[in-house]
Amino acid sequence: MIRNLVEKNSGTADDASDLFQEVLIIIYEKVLDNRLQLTCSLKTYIYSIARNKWLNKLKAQKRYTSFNNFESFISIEEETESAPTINLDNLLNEIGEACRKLLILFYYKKRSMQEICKELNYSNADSVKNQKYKCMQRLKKMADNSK
Amino acid sequence: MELKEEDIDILDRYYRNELTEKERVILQSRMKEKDFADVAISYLKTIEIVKELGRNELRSILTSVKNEIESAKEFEEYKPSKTGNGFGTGGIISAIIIVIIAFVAWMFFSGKLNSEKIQNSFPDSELVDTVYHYKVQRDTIVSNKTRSEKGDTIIHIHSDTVFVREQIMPSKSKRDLIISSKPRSENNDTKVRNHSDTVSVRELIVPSRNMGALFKANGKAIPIRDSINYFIK
Repeated sequence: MIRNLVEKNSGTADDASDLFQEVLIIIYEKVLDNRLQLTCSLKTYIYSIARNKWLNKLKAQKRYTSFNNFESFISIEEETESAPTINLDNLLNEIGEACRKLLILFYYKKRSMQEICKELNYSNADSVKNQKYKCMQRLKKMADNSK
Repeated sequence: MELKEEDIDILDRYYRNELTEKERVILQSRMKEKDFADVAISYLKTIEIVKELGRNELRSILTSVKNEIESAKEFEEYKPSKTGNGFGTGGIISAIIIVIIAFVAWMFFSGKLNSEKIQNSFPDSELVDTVYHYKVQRDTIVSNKTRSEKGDTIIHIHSDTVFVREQIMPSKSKRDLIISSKPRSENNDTKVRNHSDTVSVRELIVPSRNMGALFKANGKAIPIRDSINYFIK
């Protein structure tokens, strides 16, 4: 379905594969944020997100002329995605494994302090909170320096 | 200005969508203070970096899952023949050869083909005692499975092929073969050792043309290519 959408609209099979991956990430994030409310079939929902994202990409690359649709779709709330202005790979190496895990669990996977405490073997939730503060300070400093 | 512990707590809860209506109103009014707004926005931008790190982690997980699925699929599709007795393109070629041999045999036994005619047509043909048919027996061992820089699956295959004096059974394996050496067995049979490195190719193996004398009529061996030409004429 997504491959058909992309290949019939100026894209390749690889583009379709990347697009599908991005769609999965969007759905995953919506589930984490309790924002996934299906008002149509999952297939229509997936197609609608893919269509939106591909349309935006074509417009951004000025490759958009006309769009061929193959499935019914619904209007999807636009996901604002700010492109990172710093080199994430460098940050990933410098921040350290412990900090990376902790911050991703708290801010991306939206886990509670208690859950993180258990998962990363901290003595208590306050230790997690202190460590999170230090990690955020370190990350902020690195991000400021890399600008 | 430095953020206090309670500021960090409220910004974290704002980001995680956990604020009460009252806390939201308080935060909105505090955001009107330029000093606070600057540090708060900077803090939220740092959280965005964490979010992007999380996405990258998820992307690499999804990519590795995709690669695993693809390589499993590829491996499933690729079924090397241990005996080389499949009915693919090679099997069809075998069938055609067998039909031709049967046809020539029928012509011979029904008297439509006689030794004089053969001798006249093939003055250089040799007298032989035995008619040999060749059989290709190939053991294929998938020894390794690696990935290229682009993430394609590379299957390294090493094949040892021994040609024996039996019926021709071309393999249906679709591989590129490189003949690296051609030793002799104790019985002076020709052994062809094949080493193949396959990089996800799907190509037809054309059976060796070196089939030798395959057809015998009245003590004369006729190379099969010539016997085919003979009947075409």
